[in-house]
Amino acid sequence: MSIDTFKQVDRRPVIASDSAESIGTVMGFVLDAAGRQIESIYIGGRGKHAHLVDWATLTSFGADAVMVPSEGDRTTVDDDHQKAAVQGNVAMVGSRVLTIEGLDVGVVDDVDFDTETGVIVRVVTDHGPIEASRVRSLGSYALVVDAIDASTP
Amino acid sequence: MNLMRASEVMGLPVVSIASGEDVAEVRDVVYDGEAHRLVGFTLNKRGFFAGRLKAVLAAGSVAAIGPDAVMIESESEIDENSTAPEPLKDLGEARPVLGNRVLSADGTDLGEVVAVILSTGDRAEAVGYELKSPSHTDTSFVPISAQMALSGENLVVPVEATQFIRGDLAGFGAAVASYRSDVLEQQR
Repeated sequence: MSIDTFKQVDRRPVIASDSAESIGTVMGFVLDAAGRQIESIYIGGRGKHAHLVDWATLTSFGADAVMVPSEGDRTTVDDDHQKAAVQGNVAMVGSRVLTIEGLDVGVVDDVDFDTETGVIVRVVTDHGPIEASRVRSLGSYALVVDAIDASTP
Repeated sequence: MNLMRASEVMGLPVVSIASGEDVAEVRDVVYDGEAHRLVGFTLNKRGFFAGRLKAVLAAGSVAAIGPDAVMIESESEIDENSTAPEPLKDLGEARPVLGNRVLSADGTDLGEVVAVILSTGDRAEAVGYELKSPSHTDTSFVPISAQMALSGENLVVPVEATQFIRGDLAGFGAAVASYRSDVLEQQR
């Protein structure tokens, strides 16, 4: 497992292997509804012309560049879920963190993820880290997590 | 046991655990004064100038009430076609409890009901009342018991409940817990 963070990989170039051309930079992530897995990477453009690459098409999420086989692997947004992520309405970094008990426990500062699988490993908040296994969902209002202190009645 | 005044729940967002979306906001608390029971919540849409939602949220459909949000498992809990309990549909039925004079069974005036106290966490229920003393100088909290009688003007509290009256909400949480384990257990 190789861990990187959303903030560290921000603006990392995305390169097509066949042409060696840069086709964009890392600008954001589209996560699954459960907030556990990166589905695709937002690499440029705006609105309905925003460009994405699916995580499954990546050759490598490298330390200096994200490699995809060809420019043809670049797609455009095609559903509301992707649109919300591209517009920043649903984004982990900056999101309010709410427990399933209805307690606000801070704001997401950064996210650790596995660069080999795109799996979210840990969410770092201004109140401390939260393991990804405790994440229940990510929506426009909040990142919902399990109760922080299990001993709370 | 963590507690909140029912009035503090008004305006809280209703958030789906499944989606992380704020699907509604609490408009009002529906309380059955005769049964001393939290029935549920009426709802507003989220956002500025947003109006009332037809859908209601039954207390039994709440996953948890917290200081910052009312949590539900999924958006389907506030579906308009959900099986809302009758009092939620007919708000006029419940006898109002706020403003009632509180008397202990031995005839002592304990004050006036100014708030309904709810337990937070995963058991959303009414556990007590906040009282203003007859002189209006002190606040106290009395646990709800099945033996309470409510007329709409007066609320009569059993004598054994009066020893669990507390002056602050934090201490009252512990008092409710011990009242329930002591007194209610003996009655079984």
